[in-house]
Amino acid sequence: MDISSFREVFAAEARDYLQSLNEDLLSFERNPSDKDTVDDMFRAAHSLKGMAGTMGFDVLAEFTHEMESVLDLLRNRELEPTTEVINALFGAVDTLEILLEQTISDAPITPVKEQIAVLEALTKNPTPTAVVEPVQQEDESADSLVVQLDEFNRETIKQGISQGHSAFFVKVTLRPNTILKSVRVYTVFQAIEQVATVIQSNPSVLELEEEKFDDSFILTILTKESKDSISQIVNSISEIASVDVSELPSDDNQQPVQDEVSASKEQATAATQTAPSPLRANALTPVVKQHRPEALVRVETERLDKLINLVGELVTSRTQVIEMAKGDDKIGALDQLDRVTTELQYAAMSLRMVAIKQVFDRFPRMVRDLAQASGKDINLKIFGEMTELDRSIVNQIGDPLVHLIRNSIDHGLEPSADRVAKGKPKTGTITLGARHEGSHILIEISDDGQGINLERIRAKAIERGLIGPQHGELSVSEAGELLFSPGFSTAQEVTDLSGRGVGLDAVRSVVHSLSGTIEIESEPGQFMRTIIKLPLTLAIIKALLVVADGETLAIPIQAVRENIQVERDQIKTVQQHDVIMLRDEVLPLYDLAECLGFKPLKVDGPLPVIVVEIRGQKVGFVVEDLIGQQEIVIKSIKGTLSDIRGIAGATVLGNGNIALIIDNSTLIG
Amino acid sequence: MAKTVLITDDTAFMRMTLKNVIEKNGYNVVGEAGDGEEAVALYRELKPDMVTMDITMPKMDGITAIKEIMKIDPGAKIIVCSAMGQKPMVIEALSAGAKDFLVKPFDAERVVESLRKISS
Repeated sequence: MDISSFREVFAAEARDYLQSLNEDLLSFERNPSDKDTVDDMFRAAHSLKGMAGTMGFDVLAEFTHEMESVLDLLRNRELEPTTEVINALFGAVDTLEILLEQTISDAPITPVKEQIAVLEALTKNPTPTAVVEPVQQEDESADSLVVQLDEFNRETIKQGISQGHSAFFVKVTLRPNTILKSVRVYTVFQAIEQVATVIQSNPSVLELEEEKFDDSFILTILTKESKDSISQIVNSISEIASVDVSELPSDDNQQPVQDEVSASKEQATAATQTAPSPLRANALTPVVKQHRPEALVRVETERLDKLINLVGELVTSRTQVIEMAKGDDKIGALDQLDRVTTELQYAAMSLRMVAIKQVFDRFPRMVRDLAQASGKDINLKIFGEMTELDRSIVNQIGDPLVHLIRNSIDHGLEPSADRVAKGKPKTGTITLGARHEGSHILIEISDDGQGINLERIRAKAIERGLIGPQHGELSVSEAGELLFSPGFSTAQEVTDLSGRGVGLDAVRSVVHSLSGTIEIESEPGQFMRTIIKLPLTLAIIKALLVVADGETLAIPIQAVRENIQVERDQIKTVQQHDVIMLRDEVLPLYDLAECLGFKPLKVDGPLPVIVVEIRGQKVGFVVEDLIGQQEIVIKSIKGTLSDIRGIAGATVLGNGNIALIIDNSTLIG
Repeated sequence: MAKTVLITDDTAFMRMTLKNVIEKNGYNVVGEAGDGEEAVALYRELKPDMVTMDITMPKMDGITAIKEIMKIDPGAKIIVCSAMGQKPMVIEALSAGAKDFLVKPFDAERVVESLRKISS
């Protein structure tokens, strides 16, 4: 067993607990009389403490213990939930977050003496709000072994049976005082795995390994051997008190198998004797407690990436096969392959998709803190948090959203008094939402504050030399463009939160690096809305294949506006640069081959031109030939070739050739 | 005919104790090895039915010896003998092909059970 794999699971689960502590604290602050919330928080802290202790993360466990003590007082009404107490708890969650990340990354642990002192001060001088209630001790009977099979294992067993295997519960009881119990268990596994597949182990393999069991454990196995032969195999191992093989109860009614197997700790006298089956007798007794089905499966990103890669290769070879069979009547059969691989591709992609909720979840807390710090009344509305998008995008979109929300709080929303004076509701509203639109996701952040001040932006832009002094009134979209320019900030004073003038520029470059766009809508005095449009995934894209200087190149389709034929005499020269006119618009014209350092195109007659939108501006690229649209799998280029201007990556085409993918944002300029 | 056993341990005392228990219970100790190299050589020569193998020994340790013997005879029946606190090595020995393990100090009944079970 690799301990690092547990670390990941621990970290993910611990983060979940911290997130729910944050959420619960927010709702507890609004409704301090809600006892369920306090109980939830106490349980979360308690679980976290236990997990941290198990992993040997002592500082984390100790700190969680302090927090648990405070929560314990709260739930017993021995401590009044004052703002001071709530702030201390929020602070404790923050400290835990830091400790957790430091622990996980093996970074040096920041001393937390002061933070502990804050919590201890609360527990030492509590102000009770009610009579002390006795603490209930949860006492779980450790005497019963429970076998519960999850959906996946039941399916595995069903398939095994249909292939002629038998499914058995094998209950093994070791002799009391067995030395090196875990090693003995290992020999049992070794012996059984010669003839069977172990589907499940109760207690878990980990618990067995850590010797966290009494003398008995139950393996659920699939085998072609008989019951007797399995019990004989186990009995040929030393130090086995008893072994009991029984068939799994039948599962006709599709109900989850929830069988309690009481493993009474009777000690068999003869080592080789097979006891009459107590397991079987109790096997059909259903467990009363219904377990909530696991709604989410955690999957390592690395494995997903591998799957995506494989699917990508499959898509490529599908294209190869189709090309080989062209003109042949086998094409009908290939339609099937085509359909299946396409579906597989989408299924695999869907594994990468996660709800944007995990990003949005951090904002209620952030807005609460910023509202408290700025003295403004703010209400945060969130919608569409279940909208899904690619995991890698989710990981990167958080910081830009933080910037935009801080901006809304700092510069957008007016102080409460000003709002009342303007006849607006005292409480400002920030709305954060997400929705799908075609193959894109739209994320919008809006506030009902003062909107953008066109005149101030114009003045600032002139001062910074971004526009000429003779520039007339700005449109909202021009103003938006300026706001996102490097080094532009209209904040009158620099707060610790924003206004450093790097924020919005950084936001735009992150969005662009994710192949997205960002737009601003505003009604001065009324509202400001920022809309970020992102592709759903970055792994597979649609591209237009073109030829330049004999090379096949792929241009991401989202940037392509149209393709046109241009006659030689339509090309004009303005300031020594070629341009063409397209429906009253002047488009700069480039030779794609030349942009990439290839030989420029020299032919007579009409030229194929691809119109591409680059940073809001349409540009024409002359190419040698057009091949057509295709879905391509993006492979990044590593090493010395990784940072070539104009190249975003490469892809393998259906015919096995490699095509470079154009990065239009760095192609010119 | 009584089953044959080869005892491997670097201390004469342990070899003596084991030999005593094993012979009392009707097995025939055909050889004693003081280190792994010797055990491998004697296994080749004597082809015993079973081998007891200490882990920590000079020249060649028990785990390497188990691997060598398994190469000579994939059906070899080896019981690995460890001191307390050698759990990872015991696991390694078992995955290398040892059929059972004993933990020192030896309990006579356990030794006999082990011999009986792996020889059956």
